[in-house]
This record gives sequence, structure tokens and C-alpha cells, in this order.
Amino acid sequence: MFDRLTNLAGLIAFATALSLSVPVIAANNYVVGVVPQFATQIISSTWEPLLEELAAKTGDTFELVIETDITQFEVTFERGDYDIAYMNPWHAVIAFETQGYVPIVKDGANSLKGILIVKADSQISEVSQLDNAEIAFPSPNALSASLLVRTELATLHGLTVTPLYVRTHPSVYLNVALGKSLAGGGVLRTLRAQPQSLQDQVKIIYETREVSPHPIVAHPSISPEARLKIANALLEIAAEPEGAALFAGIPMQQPMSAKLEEYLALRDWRLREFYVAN
Amino acid sequence: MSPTNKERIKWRPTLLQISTAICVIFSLLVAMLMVLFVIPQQISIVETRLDNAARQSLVRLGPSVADPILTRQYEFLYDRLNKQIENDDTWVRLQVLDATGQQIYPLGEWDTVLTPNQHIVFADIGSAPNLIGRLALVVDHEFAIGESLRLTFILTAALFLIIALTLISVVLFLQAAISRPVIGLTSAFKLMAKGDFDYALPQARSREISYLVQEFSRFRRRTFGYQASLIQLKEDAEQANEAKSRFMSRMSHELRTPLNSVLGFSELALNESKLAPEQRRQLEAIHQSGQHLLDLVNEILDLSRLESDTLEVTLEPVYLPDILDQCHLMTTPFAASHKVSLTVLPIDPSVCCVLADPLRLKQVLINLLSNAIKYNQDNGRVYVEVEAGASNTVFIRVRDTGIGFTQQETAQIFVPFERLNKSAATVDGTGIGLSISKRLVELMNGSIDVHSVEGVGSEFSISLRAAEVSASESDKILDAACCKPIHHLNEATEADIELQPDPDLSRAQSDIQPVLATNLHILVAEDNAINQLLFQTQLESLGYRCTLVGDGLEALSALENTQYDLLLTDISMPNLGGLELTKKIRSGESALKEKGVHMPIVACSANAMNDDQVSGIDAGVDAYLTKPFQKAQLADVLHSAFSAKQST
Repeated sequence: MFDRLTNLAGLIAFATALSLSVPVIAANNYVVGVVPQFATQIISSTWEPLLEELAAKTGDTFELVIETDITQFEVTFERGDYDIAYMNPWHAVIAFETQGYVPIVKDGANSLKGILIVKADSQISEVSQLDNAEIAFPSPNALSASLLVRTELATLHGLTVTPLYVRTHPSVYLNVALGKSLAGGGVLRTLRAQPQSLQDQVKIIYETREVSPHPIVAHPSISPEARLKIANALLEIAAEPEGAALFAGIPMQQPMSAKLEEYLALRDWRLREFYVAN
Repeated sequence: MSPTNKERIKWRPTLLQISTAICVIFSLLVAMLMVLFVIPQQISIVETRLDNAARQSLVRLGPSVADPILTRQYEFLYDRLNKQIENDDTWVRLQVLDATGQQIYPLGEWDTVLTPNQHIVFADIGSAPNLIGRLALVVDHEFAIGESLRLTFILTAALFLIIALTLISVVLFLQAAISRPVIGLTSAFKLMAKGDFDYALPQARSREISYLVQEFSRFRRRTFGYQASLIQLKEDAEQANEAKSRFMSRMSHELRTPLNSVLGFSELALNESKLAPEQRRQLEAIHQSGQHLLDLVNEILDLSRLESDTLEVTLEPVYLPDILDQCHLMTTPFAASHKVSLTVLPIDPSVCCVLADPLRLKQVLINLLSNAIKYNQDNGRVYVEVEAGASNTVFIRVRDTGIGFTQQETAQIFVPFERLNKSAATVDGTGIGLSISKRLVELMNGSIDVHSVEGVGSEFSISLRAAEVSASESDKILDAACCKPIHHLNEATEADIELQPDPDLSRAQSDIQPVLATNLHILVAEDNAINQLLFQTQLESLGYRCTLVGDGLEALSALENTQYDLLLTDISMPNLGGLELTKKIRSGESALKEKGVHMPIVACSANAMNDDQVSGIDAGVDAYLTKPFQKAQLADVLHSAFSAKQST
């Protein structure tokens, strides 16, 4: 915590110095991409006000681009189409490796971890009982709910499972509750968002290791000064009550500056082996 | 219209009531139709349609959920179905089974129990052999049916309102067009019956009623004309009848005066012993004919009084044994002369009294007895019996063994002057006796009836109201009645009858017993010279002295000059009549203020009407004689008058 505050203070000091030393930076137009894990309308209604606010702070213009699905999103950022993008931590790793994207802001409040659920009245209590079982997941590369869980089941527990991808977290929970799948991968946050009747029908038997939450990344073509200006502007917005509400919609409870290193650790977890390339 | 009819009409409904009843029945029928047929039918139709609609929706829903089922992307399925149930009011719950039959929606237990308004419909997702799953939907049509029924009720209420308004208008129209004019006409009819021909007729609004009112108006005008002419005719008839009565009264009076002479002189002549047998027979014939004429005049007089309603009867308790005794006594000689036996059967004490006018009852009984005797056969019999009738009445029956008469003749027997043909030739009679008897009995609140068998005999029954009275009182009543100086028959003994076949003549002769008049002086006021002569002869033969004067004025001057023992005065005289004369004498006597001065006055007149006698008594006469009278009657009256004077 102390480190983070120091980082933030340093960042602010640096940004202030920079803004004083370089009073005028030419206005730029940035393309912004957001991972389509919610409906386009929801993403649009959350991000447009935030980007307007950001434009007002920086004097730059921001164009929001939303892909129809995650696969297309992956294709797009691997191509380097976005100047700034919001994505999951594993995507951040891929993005760095393919295009050199670097995280600039992340949610400091919640770290991500995947869970494995079974039916509440199920005999299964250990992951070892799930060898060769069919397990439901939202999609192959969903970081916490799918990629982390599958990776750990294989690498930490030596299990082979048959994944079934049912697109969304609720569908995973429903498959488990209905007994269609023996188990399902998800995250605590989306499980808690389900109706109580559904929550009551499932139980959690396994949790993965934590990863840092979704970062906002910037393309290496953006100069470090411009990156810093944008990051500072975002943190300024988050410090205001109206701005905090806008961030909460992303969702990003406690924005703070992000470091590439936090995310590169994921490379040691052998996630790549389980990543389904397009 | 009889009262029962009136009652029946009162219970019949009015037009308004009938119309209202029809309205109510019609409304009930419509309501029953709605409740028993239309509404159930409507509910059934609505339910079927809604079920079909729900099935259609379900079938359309199938393809949209097929993919999520196959890919097991259940969130989409749940979202889709939750939204569908949320959006459709009639959808209660849905069930989705997959191809294996496992329930994949909803998450919880599926409730299979349905409420009365809930229906379940099914639809397959996909089709065999690629059946993907099955949808089951519970729909509730309560709201839709409620809405539909609400509309129906509004429609029905509107229908009722329209029907009610229409019928009320019709009823009001009928009321105005028929009931009100008819009630007006009914009032007009009622008032017309009471003699009001001017009651305003109702305004008619329909042609039919207008015709009715018009025809009634015409009918009323005509009836008014008829009634006016009827009233005129009635008045004319009454006047004519009155004239007839006056004429008969006058006639009887005018006939009495000469009859007085005929009877008086023939009686006097018969008293002569020196008559040749042939002369005696002729004189007897004159006297008999005169007597018959007198009877006829009396009866005609009675009849005219009865017709003009001037004959009055005084009802009082009458002791029957006494009255029947008297009648028996009076008719026995006549019966003997016809060789008929007359028997009064013993009377039960419980039925011995009736309410009647004693004199008139006696007249009726004597008439019946005379007829029973006259129309009997030789050695025939006449019975009189009294018995109790129904409801406090008493029957007096006169039964004979006479010739009798037929049913047809029975109808005519009480008609005046209708004598039965077969007897008219052989038997004396006026032909009005029975009709007078009938009317007299009716005046006494009784009735007379007759039963006859031709050749066997007849029975006349008088029915009178019974009366409660002691025998002694009855005696007094009868005595008083018998002492009145007016009666035509006197008691006769059987011995007399045997000697004299004619009862009237025999009685006249038997009564002539010279009274020792001790030279009493009588003043006679009489304007008719022949009657003057008759009075003089009769009074002298009775041993009185008499002085004759022509009118009341002469009588007054005679009384001033001479002391008389008695005044015998005619009523109708020139200058001063008998009543005025009596009044003057009586006022003179009271002016003298000397007690005990009382001139006995006997009035004598051919006026046989009751009023004359009453006004005579009022004027102060002591006795009243009706012309013609017999010498014996004159003797009786004079004797009584003198006795009274001596006793005072």
C-alpha cells in the first residue's frame, strides 16, 4: 500500500513537473478499445461520459470502438488498432508481447481470482474428483473463470478435463445448477450477482491464485509524456466524486497507476499453454 | 252489475300492471339467457381463443430458445423466458424440458396444480426425430375473461336500459292514449248512470279511442234525449194516474150520496109490515143491489188509495185468536147460506200474535173467507189454520175444498178486475178483492201466496211478521179496533142466517130495535133534500125529534134560538161546512168558560177518505159516520154520543 501511495505521489510530482516544463502539447486523437464482456450499450453508456471528461482534462479527443465479441477484440488489439484499451490481465500480457502495450491505470481494490463450482448437493468436494469431467466455462480465454482455472487444474493438479464453453458466466452457473455439467468455472463477483435461488444450488470447491485486475493499457506509439498526461487525468477524474461514479461503472473501484511487471508474472503460470489462439 | 262481478273486476290487473309484468318477465328472460347461455358460452369461446393464442405464442417461442438449449447457453434461455412471462399478464409459469425430458427451466420445482381459471398448453421445440425439447405453459385467463365479462355486463346493462326506456315510453304512451281516456270514459259512464250528462269527456290521442269517445258522446246525447222523454212520459202518466185517483175519489163520494138514499129508504120500506110479498121481493132486490154497489164503491176507493199510496196502515201487535173469532163469527152466516162448513183450527200460543193493522187484517181475512165460501161446492169445507213460518214469520192459511183453478189462472188471480171466466158467470164479485188483499198484506210487510189444484181446492197463505204480546193487551187492541164506527159487517147469529139467506139484509133487519129516545131533540144540518128526508124518517123511527136546516149558518142561528140535545151535521155544505160549523161551536163553548157545556156533534159525510175523519176529530166532532150508513149504525152512534154526554 505504502508503495502504491509513493508511486502515486511520484507520478503526480512527475506529471506536475512535466506539465510545468512542457506547457503546451499538441492535441491528439486516440482510438479507445474496451473488452466486450458486457453488452455494447452498457459499455458505451459507461465509457462515453468518462472519455468526454478525459477529453476535457487533456484537450485530446477519444474515439470509443467496441467489438462485437472478445475474439474480434483480441484480433484488433493484436493488430495494434487501439491507442488505448481496457482489457483483462492476460490480454494485457498478450498485448505487450504482440504490440508492446503497457498498463497505465488499474483497479487497486479488487484482485482477480477464478472459482470452481459444483451443484450444492453434489458428492464432489475435491478438484481431484473432476478428472476427465466435462466442465462448463464462459469462453476459452476468459482469464479468471476459464484460463486460470483450466491452467491450474492441469498444471497444479494434473487433471484432464473436457471444457464446454457456454459464453456467459450465468450460463455456466445454470449448467451446474441444472446438473448438465459436473462443475463450472466462474468468478465470485458474477456468482454473487446471480439470483439467490441459483446461488443456493451451487457451492464453491476451489479458488485460483489472484491476479491484478483489468488494466487500461496504452500503445507504445503514444509518447511517455502523453501516456503520463492521460494517466494523471484519469486519476484526477477518479479523485472527484462524479468521476469515481464513472469508474465504478467500468467497474474499477479504486483506480491507481499500473506497472507492467505485475502482469508479466502471469507468463510464469503457463497460461499460454491454455490460451486458445484465434 | 252484480257485486260478485264488481269484485272480480277489482281483482283484474290494470293495463299498467300488465305492461309492468311483461317488462319484468321479459327482463328476467333476458337475464336468464345471459346467465345461463350467453355468459358461459362467451367464457368458453374466450378461453378457447386465449388457449389457442397462447399455444401460437408458445410455438413461435420454440425456435428462439432452440439454440440456447442446444448450446446450453442457458442464460439467454432464462432471460428470454423471464422477460416473456414478465411481459404477458396471462402467462403464469413456463416449463422447458430438453430432449431427454429433463427440466431445464425453471430452476425450482414445477407446480402442476392449476387453479380453476388456469389452463396448460404445450408446444414442441423442433420436431421428431430432431426433437429439441418441449414447452409447457400455464396461462390464467381470469383477467381477460373478467374484462370480457365486464364488457358483456356493460352491453347487457345498456341493453336493459334501452329496453326499460322503450317499455316505459310504451307504458306511458298506453297510459296516456288508452288508460287515461278509458278511466275518463268510465267516470262519464258512472256519472251518466247517476244522471250527470255534462261530465267532460277525455281527450283521446289515438284514432281508436277517439272513435270510442265520439260514439260514447253520441250515445250519451241520445240517452239524454230518451231520458228526458221518459221523464216527461212518467210525469204525464203520474198526472193521469192522479187525475184518475181524484176522479175515483170524487166518483165514490158522488155515488155514496144517492146510495145513502137508496139503501136508507129501501131499508125503511122493508120495515113496513104491510107490504105485499111481491113488493117485499122487489124492495129486497133494490136493497141488495144497492149494497153490492156500495161494496163496489168501497173497494174501488181502497184500490184508488192503494194506487195513489194514500192508504196508510198502522202496524201493531194483533192477537190472532180474537181476530179469527170475529171473522169466523162474521162469515159463518154467509157460509151457512152456501152450505159450507167453516172451521178455525186450534192456534198454538207461540204463534198467536202478528204485526199488522187489525182492521185491514180483518178485511183481508174476510175477503179470503168470503172467496173460499163463494167458490166452494155444496157441503164444502173451509179451514183456517195458523202456523209458524221461517225466520220469525207466521202463516195464516185459508184452505177450501172448492173448484180450484189452474196454474195459468193463478198468475191472474191478483190482477184487478180479472175474474176467472168460469166463476164470473155464476158467482157475485167485484174482481178486485184479492188484489186489494194482496196489496194490504204487502203494506203490512207480509206476503200472500196461493196454491190450487183444479177441482180439489185452493189454499191462500198470508205470511206476516210475528209479534210478542200478552193476550190481555191484544184484547184491548182488538176491542178498540172493533169499536170504531167504520165497518160494513156486523155480527150475526146463525139463527138469523137460517131465516134470512142474505146476510147483509138479515143484519139490517135484526138490528132494527126501536130505541126509547125519550123525546131527545136533534138538529140536522144537511143540504141534500132527499138525505134530509131520510134523516128525518130514520131519526123519527128511532124515536128522536129532529129539526132540519140546509147549511152551517142556518144551524148556528138555530142553535142560538133553541136548545138541542145533539147536532148531526153533513161535512160538505154550502155557505158554512160541517167542520167549520163544529169549530165555531167548540170555540163558542170554550169562550163561555162554563165547564161541562158540550154539544154532542156527529159528523156525517160521503167522504170516506181517512183524512176526512181525522180532520173531523181535530175540529171537535164526537163521532163520524160515513155515508151510506144503516139505521142500526146511526142508532149506535147516537146512543154512544148520548151515553158519553150523560156520563160527563
